[in-house]
Amino acid sequence: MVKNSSVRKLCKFCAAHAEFIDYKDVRILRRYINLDGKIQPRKYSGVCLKHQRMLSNAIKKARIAALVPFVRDAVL
Amino acid sequence: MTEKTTNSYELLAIFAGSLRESEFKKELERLETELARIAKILNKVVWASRPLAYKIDGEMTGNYFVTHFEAEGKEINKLDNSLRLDPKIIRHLICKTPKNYKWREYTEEDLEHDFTKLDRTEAAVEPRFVKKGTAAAKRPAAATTKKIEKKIEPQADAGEIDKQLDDILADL
Repeated sequence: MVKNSSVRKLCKFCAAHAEFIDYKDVRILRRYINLDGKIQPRKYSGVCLKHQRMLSNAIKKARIAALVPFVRDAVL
Repeated sequence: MTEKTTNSYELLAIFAGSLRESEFKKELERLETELARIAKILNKVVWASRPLAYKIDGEMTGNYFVTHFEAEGKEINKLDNSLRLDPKIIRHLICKTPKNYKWREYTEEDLEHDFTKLDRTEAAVEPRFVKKGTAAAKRPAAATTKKIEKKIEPQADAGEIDKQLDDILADL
């Protein structure tokens, strides 16, 4: 019987030595938001806990600043 | 105890998109003078008539004003109150900047919020995050897209295929 080998994903922010995530950098943020406007869980993105916290804070600020929508189809 | 402790902050204010250009400039000057009175402005940028990600007070576009400044903590509360009461400013956000914060000006592409225009082939982390002098900084940027080369097999002539088929049938 072959065991399912779980491959651990690497955090891309750790690999790049990211010290902070700017809320104005929508190009980076939208990578971690799905089409519904929800924050992607780190289980799927592979982001570490430290950077996931930074990322979610940045996304929440960007939502307040109307740079990123809260929900899908907000603009009609 | 008399020493003033200053922190660096960032302010993002959105003026209504329906404002006239002259009116917007006047309001912007007023805000800048008010800010310069209590803080030391380090950097500032204006993004004029940008589409908003969602409607705010019936406005679909907004004139963004982003500034990085140093000020005393107690002044921030007053500034926040005055911005909240300003009818020309539809939304504002004041936040403390991190220790190693570096001001950067963003292009239109960086601020695009339309998910359908997302290019998933580009690198997830930009090289600007990389610390100088580290191994990651020295490494050349990895190729983001791999070209898939299809192997095209030479097609045999129809006549040859017929001959081969005839041979196979003859053997049977």
